[in-house]
Amino acid sequence: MPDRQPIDLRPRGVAGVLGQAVVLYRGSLEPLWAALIALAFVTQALGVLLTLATTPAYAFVRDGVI
Amino acid sequence: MPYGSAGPLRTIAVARAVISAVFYLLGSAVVLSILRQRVVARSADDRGMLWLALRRLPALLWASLMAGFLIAAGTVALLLPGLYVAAGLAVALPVLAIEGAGPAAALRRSWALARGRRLATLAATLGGAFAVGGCTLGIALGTRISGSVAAFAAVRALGGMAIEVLLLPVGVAVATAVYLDLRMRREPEALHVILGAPAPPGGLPGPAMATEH
Repeated sequence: MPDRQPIDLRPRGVAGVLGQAVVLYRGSLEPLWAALIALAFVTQALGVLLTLATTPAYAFVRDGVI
Repeated sequence: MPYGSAGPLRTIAVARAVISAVFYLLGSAVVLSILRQRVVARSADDRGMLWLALRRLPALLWASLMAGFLIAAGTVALLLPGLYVAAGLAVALPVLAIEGAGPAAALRRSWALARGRRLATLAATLGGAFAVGGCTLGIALGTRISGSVAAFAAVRALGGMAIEVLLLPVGVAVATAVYLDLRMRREPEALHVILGAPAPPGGLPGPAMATEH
């Protein structure tokens, strides 16, 4: 976990709040990678299994209708 | 079998929606814990943080369900009541994570914090939602391929992973930034205590207390 940067404590407008959100996002993404990738991998793997188990329902993919 | 009207596709869509909902619930708990650790002084270490995320999961589920129901009810009534409710409940999840409130208390507290700042809260929340929605749409459209079903499933899974990993934290980060701003305006002293930050020389910034509706 990187050192916490001080959070700017000033009331701000909408653009300032969104800017603060970007700072929070960037600061928290690194420690999140492992947990989120693991979670997303599990859910997407379930999705792939579900799709492959029901291949006939996806005839439109094979026929190029997307 | 005609395309798009097949019963199995509907069942698959429901199953995928349930899987996604579980992911978003777990993911939001983890993101909130990380942001809490980043915001709150004397926060837990990584293991404590994950434990905290799991412990807060039931409260997060109830708060999300209640907020979702209220926003949906307002939206069904007409769009504007739904937006009004959404603005009022926008910071319920950060309240839940940072203040340790229960689900109903988090909704009430969010409603009180956003009073008088609903329009600005809604603008920031919608700004984040549009950014997430636009990126999600772009990734979803960019990963539509025809050919083999296996390739279709694999590419869609990669797109789904990108959406889940990169975009899930955006909404939570926006809600947390809005929460910090609302508290800064209403309770600057209390926020300084939570953050463990010294008050700036010359006193705390004057809160621009919004007028109540």
